[in-house]
Amino acid sequence: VTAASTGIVEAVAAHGLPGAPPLPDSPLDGATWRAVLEQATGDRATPLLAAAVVDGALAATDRQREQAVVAHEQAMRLCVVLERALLDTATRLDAAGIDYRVLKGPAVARLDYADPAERAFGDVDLLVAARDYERALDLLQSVGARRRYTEVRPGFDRRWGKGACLVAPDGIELDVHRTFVAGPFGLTIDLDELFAHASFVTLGGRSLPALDRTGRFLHACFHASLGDRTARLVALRDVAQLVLASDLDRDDVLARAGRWRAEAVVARAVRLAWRRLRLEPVPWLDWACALRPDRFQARALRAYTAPSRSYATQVVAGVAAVPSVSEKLAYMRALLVAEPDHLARRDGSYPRRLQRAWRAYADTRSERPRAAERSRAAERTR
Amino acid sequence: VRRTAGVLWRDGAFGVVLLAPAAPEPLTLAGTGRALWAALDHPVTTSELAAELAAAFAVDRDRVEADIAPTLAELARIGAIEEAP
Repeated sequence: VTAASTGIVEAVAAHGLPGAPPLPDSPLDGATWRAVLEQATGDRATPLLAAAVVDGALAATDRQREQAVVAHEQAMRLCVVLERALLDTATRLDAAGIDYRVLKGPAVARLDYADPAERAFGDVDLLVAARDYERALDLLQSVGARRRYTEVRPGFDRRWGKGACLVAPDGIELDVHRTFVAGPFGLTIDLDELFAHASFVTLGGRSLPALDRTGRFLHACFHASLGDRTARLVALRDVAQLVLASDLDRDDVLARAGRWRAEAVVARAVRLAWRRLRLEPVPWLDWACALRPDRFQARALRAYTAPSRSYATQVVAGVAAVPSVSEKLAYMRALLVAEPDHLARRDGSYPRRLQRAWRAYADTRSERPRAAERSRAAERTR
Repeated sequence: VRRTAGVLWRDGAFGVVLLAPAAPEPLTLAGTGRALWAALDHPVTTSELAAELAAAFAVDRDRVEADIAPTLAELARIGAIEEAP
């Protein structure tokens, strides 16, 4: 992986969008090509790499073209397998009367891209209504799925958690979400509002509920902004795709983001997408660059973006978003007095957990210039 | 014949990747298989299918009918296509 290969993969991830940067007009040398292929696979951008090569936008040798097409085929083989797992899961949830929305890959591939073959994905994500969350997990575990991580305390996830990652007997990952992310920004989302709207994705002859377009864009922003230490290019492409290639209602997005105290999340996602994909500026970018987050959002954002970011910093920062004093106390008690199994896996002992929690709390509250500078420097290198 | 309602598929330069409801794994149709799958987007008889592909590729219809028979048999075996009522 080199700076050159990274720059090429980032430009590939913008392929087909208006204002996308140009790609090399002569075939890459072997080492650079291998790095591009590897990075595109890791960033789930092989459909865009294959499209760029097949369209002639990215010059390639016959061998490189063949490798790009095979990588695309492999990604699509996984996608149809995951879609079948999604259909099986949807059948079970429907039979149990559990309300859900299809998230991310399977939804945006069919609703926001011209061709679902342009969008690869690696797991299945579902948002389940909080009232049905535990019933959904029980149902899926009754057919052999197992939780990847134990819950901090019984009932924590249903009240405050992001959700659970389940692994089916065939190895397929199924992320059951209660909200978009752990921590403060996951707690300020109006979950009822998410279920008040729907788009429908047709899959294998069936119609499955997904988030509406505004909801899909906001989730794409949450995922790109807060999901991984370094956002996958496919996540950034989703943000740009929805801005540039759909009839996204900007007023609706900003109104909903405002109600969720999450304008900073949207702004960061747009800035990251435009910077890494090197797209031509658009009014959305002007808005994102001009936004000055309030104190709550600035602090909350640090829990996800500071170099010290961890699940611990996010859930500890969540205290600020929990509404009442009594609920804040319940939240903190649940975090500190974890179940023995959870404790053994994460911290080993209660004093150590308390120490980690304090460090995470101090880190998210810190407004020292040095910490902020570290955070910006990390963002620049991503 | 026609596509089975629950079949999942993707089309690309690789051909068509498809997964029938009860198939153990996806199948890739390469080369002219891509055109065959596209022609199955509505119910057709095998003769109509052969005629359509023969016209598209400018080859003899009987030869196409013989060529596509094993692919259609395989698609039927995995449950990706079915006889239309």
